[in-house]
Amino acid sequence: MKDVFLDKKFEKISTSSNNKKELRFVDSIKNSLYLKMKKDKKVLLIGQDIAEYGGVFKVTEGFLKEFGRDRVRNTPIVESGAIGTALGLSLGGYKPVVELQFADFVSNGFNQIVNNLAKTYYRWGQSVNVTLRLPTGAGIGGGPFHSQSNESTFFHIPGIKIVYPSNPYDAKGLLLSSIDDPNPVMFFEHKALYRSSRSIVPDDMYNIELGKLKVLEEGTDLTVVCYGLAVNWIKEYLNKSNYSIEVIDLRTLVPLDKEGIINSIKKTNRALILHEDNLTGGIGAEISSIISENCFEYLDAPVMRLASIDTPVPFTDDIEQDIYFPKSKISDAVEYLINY
Amino acid sequence: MSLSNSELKKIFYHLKLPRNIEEKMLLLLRQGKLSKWFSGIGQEAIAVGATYALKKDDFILPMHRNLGVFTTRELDLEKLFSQLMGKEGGYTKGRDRTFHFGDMQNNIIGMISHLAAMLPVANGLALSSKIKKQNNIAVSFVGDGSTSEGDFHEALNLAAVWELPVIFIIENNGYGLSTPNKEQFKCNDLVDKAKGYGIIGDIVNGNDILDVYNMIKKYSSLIRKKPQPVLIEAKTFRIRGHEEASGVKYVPKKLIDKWKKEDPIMKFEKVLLNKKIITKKSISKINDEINKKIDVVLDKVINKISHTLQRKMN
Repeated sequence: MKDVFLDKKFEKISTSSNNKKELRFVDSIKNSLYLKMKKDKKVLLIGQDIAEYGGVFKVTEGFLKEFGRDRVRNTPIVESGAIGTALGLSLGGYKPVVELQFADFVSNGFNQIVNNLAKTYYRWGQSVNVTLRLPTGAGIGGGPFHSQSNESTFFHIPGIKIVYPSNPYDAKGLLLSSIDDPNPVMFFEHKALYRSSRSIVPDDMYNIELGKLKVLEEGTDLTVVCYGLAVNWIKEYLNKSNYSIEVIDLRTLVPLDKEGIINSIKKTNRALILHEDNLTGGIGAEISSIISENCFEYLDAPVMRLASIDTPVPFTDDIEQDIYFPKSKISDAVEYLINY
Repeated sequence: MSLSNSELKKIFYHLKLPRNIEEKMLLLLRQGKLSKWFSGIGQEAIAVGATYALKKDDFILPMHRNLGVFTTRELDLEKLFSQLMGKEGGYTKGRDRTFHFGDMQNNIIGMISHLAAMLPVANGLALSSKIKKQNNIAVSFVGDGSTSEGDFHEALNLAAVWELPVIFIIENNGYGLSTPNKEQFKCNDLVDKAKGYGIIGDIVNGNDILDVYNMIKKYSSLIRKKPQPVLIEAKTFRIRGHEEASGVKYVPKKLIDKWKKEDPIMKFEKVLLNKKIITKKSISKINDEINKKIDVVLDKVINKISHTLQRKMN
C-alpha cells in the first residue's frame, strides 16, 4: 500500500498578514493559481482556450500576459494528449496543472489518468506531480455532457488523489496543496459554486492538508457526510431544521478521512450520506460500507444514502433541480433516521 | 559517415548484446524460469542504432521489443536481468513485469501496455527541454499497430503545433499481434501520415543499423537546432511471434524466410567483414565474450529469490 502514493510530509503554510476579503469560488481558484505561479516557476498551465481567452470560466484571464506562453499554453482540442503531456512535463521536473474545459471531457483522457498517472509511481517509483482541474457538476442547465459528476469513476482507481472543495476558502488552500503534492491529483471545482459561493479568504497563500475532513457543524442527533454542492443543500436545510445535526464536509475523497467519519458516527449514532453524483456505485456506497463495518454496534438506524437519481443529467432546470437532485428528499430522510 | 573503426566495432558489440541476451532468455523461458517474453529478434538495429545516435541526456520512451535501448544505454545488467526475471533487485520491486519500467538516471521512461500512450508523454518531456532551452530531445518508439490509436494522432498533432523536439519512430514489423499491415492501415507507408500533421517524415531500412544511426543522427541534430517533431518509419519484420506463446502460424513462412535473410546482425557483419574492420575470428570472440558476461550475471540473478518468496519469508 505504501507504494501507491509518494509520501510527503505536510508542511503548513500560514498567512503572514491578516488581510482578507470576500471572494467568489472562481476568484479564489484564480487567486490561488496566480499566487502559486508567482512563487513557483515550476508550475505550468496547459489547457484548451486558457491563454488569450482566459479559459471558458475565465480562471486564467490575464495569466498569459503575466507569465508568458511557456507557462500558460493553449492545447488543441485534446484531453488524452494533454494529460499524457503533463506526465512528461512532470518527469521533466515541472508541476503542470491541466485545465479540463469541463470535467465531462475527462473521459477522453481516461487511459492516461488510470494507467499512466495513477500507476507510474507504484510501478517504477517515479513521482507524478500533475494536477488536473475539473470544472464539474450540474445545476447550471448544462445537460448530459456539461454537467456530469464523475469523481466516483476515478475514486475506484488506486493511485489518484481526489480533492473536491465546497467553498472558496477551502478551494484556495486545497489547490495549493494539490499542486505541491508529488502525486496525481484530480481537483474538482463545482461550476454552480463558481459564482454563487462566497467566503472570506486571506489575501496571502495558505494550504490545507489533503485527506482531512472539516466538521462544519457540530451536532448530536445525526451526522450528514457530504462534499461539494451537497454541502450547500444541507446548509439550506439546517436553516429550517431544529435537530442537532453534525455536518461533515469531506473536502478530499482520496485520501478519505475514514477516522473522522467513524468518530462522528460513534458520537451521533446515525448517518446520512448526501452527494450530487448519482447513487449507484457512488462515493456514498463506500462511505456507507466503512460506517457499517466500523460502527455497527453504535448505529441506532440504518445508514442512509441520498444522491441524484441514476439517469444522465437532464437539461431543463426544473427536472434537474426537482427530480434529478436529491435536495427535496433531505427532510424526509432526516425525519426517518431520527425517528427510527 | 564519419564513424571510426573502433566506433563501428562498438556498435557491433551493442547490436549483438541484446540478441545474445534474448537467446538466453528464450532458453530460460522454455525451462520455465521466465514468465513471458516479447521478442525483438531481427529488429535490434532500430533500438540500438537510434540509442547509439542519441546523447545520454536525450529522453527515450522504448517499448517491449526494445531491449537494445536498455543495453545500449548500458544499464546495469544485474539490475536489468533481475527486473526481467521478476527477482528482487530489479526496477519495480516486482510491481510490474519485464520492460514495464523506467530509469530516470538514464533518461528512459517506462512504457505501459496501452501502445500509443507514451507518445504524449514524450511531448511533455520534449516541451520541458524546450522551455529550459536544454537542447535535449525525446525519442518515442511505437509499432505499426499503435498508429491506429487515438494517442498517436493527438501526440503527433500536438507536437506539430507546439514545434516540439521529438522523434517518433514507428517500428513497422508487419504485424500487430496477428493483424497484418493491410488490415491495420490503408496508406502506402505509415510515414505518409506525417504530411497530414505538417511535419517531416522519412523512411529507413530498420534492418540496417548504419542507416538507422545516420538518420537519427541527422534528424536529432536538426531538431536540436530547430525544435520540431519528426516521424520516422523503420521498415522491419517480426521474426518471432507477438510473444512466445502466440507463435507465428498466422505469418506466411516465405515472408519469415525472406526477412531472415535481412537479419540486421548478419548484414552488419558483412559490412564490417568487407571493410576488414573485423574478422570471422573476432566475431566469434566478441560472441563468446558477450555470452560469458551474460552467464556470469545470470548465475547471480538466477539464484536470487523472487519477490513472492521474499514476502513469504518476511
